[in-house]
Amino acid sequence: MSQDHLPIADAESERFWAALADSVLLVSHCPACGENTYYPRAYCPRCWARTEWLECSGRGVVIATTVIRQHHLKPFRGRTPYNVAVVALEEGPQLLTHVLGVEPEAVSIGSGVRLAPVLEDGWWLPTFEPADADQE
Amino acid sequence: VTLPRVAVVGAAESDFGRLSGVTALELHVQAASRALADAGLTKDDVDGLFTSGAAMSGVMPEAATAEYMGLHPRYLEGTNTGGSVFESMLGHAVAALQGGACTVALIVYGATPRSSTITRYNRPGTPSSFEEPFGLTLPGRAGMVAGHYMHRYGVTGADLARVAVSIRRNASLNPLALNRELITVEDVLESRMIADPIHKLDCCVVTDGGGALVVTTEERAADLPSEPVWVLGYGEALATETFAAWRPFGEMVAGESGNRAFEMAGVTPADVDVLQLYDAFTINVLLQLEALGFCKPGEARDLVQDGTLDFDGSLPTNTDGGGLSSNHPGMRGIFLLIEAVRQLRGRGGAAQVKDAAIALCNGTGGPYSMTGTVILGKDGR
Repeated sequence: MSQDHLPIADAESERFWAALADSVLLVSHCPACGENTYYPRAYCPRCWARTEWLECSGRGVVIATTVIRQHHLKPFRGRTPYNVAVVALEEGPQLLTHVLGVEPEAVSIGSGVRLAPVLEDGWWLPTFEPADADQE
Repeated sequence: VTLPRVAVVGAAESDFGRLSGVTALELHVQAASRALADAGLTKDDVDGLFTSGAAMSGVMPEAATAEYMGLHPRYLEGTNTGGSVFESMLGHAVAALQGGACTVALIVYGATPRSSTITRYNRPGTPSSFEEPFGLTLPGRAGMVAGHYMHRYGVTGADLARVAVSIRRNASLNPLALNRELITVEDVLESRMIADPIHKLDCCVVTDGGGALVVTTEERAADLPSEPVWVLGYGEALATETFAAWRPFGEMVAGESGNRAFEMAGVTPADVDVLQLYDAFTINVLLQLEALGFCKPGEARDLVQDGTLDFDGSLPTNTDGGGLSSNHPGMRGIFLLIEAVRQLRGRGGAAQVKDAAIALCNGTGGPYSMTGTVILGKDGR
C-alpha cells in the first residue's frame, strides 16, 4: 500500500506530530503579536517573530464539510464514503481533518467537535469527533 | 511615463480531448507552432519563454521545457500558481516586454492528465503533510466550498447546476468540445454524487491538451499580419497554498486581482462583453461572478438564471464550453485567454458574441486562493 499520503516530519514539525500521540494538538503562538498559526512554523507569518508552542484545548467548530465518494488512489479508494472537514479551533487557526465516530453525512457546519487523534501506520493524525460524543 | 502598449498577436490550442501516444511536451511544440504561425512569427523570434508545470520530472522543469523546445530565451518565467498562472504570466509578460527584457514572449502549456493518470500524491513534506493524510480530492474541496456557500446564502444544487447547463449550451456550438449534448438542471442533479454536494456534472472534464499565446509590443505588432488583441489591464492575488487556512473561508481573492485589472484598464464590469471564468466546478463560477463585482455576494444565483451565461445571454461566459464541457488539461487558464482572443477577433464561430470588444479572463489556482485577472480589448487604449 502506498504510504505517500502520510506526513513527513521535519525540524519544525516533529514536535507537533509527536504531541498528537499524547492527544495534544499544538499550534504556533507568537509572543510578539499574539497570532496563533496552523500549520505550525518557527516564525510568525504575521510579524516574523520567533514563535512558541501553544497547547490547544482540542475544541473547535466545523466551518466546512464534505463526503468524499470517489477517490482513485490507495488507501482512500477503499475508504469511501468518508468525511473531510475544515475545523476552526477555539484558538483561531483552521485545519483540515476527518470528523469521525459519526456517519460522514451527519457532520454539519456549525457543529462542535473535539480532538480525537487516530493512529495510522505509526502516525497519530489530528482527527476530531463530535463534541457531544460519549467520553471513553 | 507612457508605457508601450502590448498585444496578443498569436493564440492557438494544440489538439485536445482524448489523445493517445502523445506527451505533454509534444503538445507544447504543437500549440506554440500554431500560435506563432497565427502571429506571423517563427520560433527564432521568441526571446521570452513563459511556461509552467509541464515537465513534471527533473528539478528544473521549466528549463527542461526550454531545452525540449530548442528555445534559448533571454527571459524565462516559470511561476506555478495552478489554474491562475497563465493570466498572471500574461501580466508578467506585459511587464517584461514594456521593460525591454524581451521582445517576443511565448506563453505555452500542455498536459496529458487524461491519458496518463496521476498515480501518486503531492510532493511530501511541509505543508502537504498537514493536508494529504485526509484524502481531500479536488471535487472534495469544491464540495466544501459549495456546501459552505449554500449554507451561507440558502443556495441550492439547482442554482449551481444552471452554470453547467449554460456552459454546455455554449459547448454544443464548439465542434472540438469534449461534451456537446445539451443537458438540463435535472441531468446535473441526477448525475452521480462525487463529493457532497458536488455531482459529476458540476465537475469539469479531464482531457489532454495545450495552448499557446504570442505576445509583443505595439511597435512589433504593427509589422505583423495578424490581428492584435490588446492587454488593457491585469492583476493577480495570492492567499494561501493550503486549503484549510483560507480566510475568510469561501471568499475568493479575485476581488483584489479584478480591481487591479479594472483600474489599469479603466473599465468596470458593466463594460465587459464576454467573460472567461475558471470553471473547474460550477460553484467556482458563482464565486468569481461575485468577487469580480458582476453581482453582490450571495446574488450570483439570481444572475445565472434564464441563460444569462449562454453565448447569446446578457453575460456570455465560457463561450467555448469551458472546462465544464470542452477541455481541462490541468492548468486551464491558457484556454480562457485563447477563447477571449478568438471572440475579440470575431472568430468565435457559432458561439460568437455579437460586437464583443472587451473580454475579461479570470484564472483561479490552488485551493481557490490564487487568482489572475486579465482584461483584453479589440481596440487598444
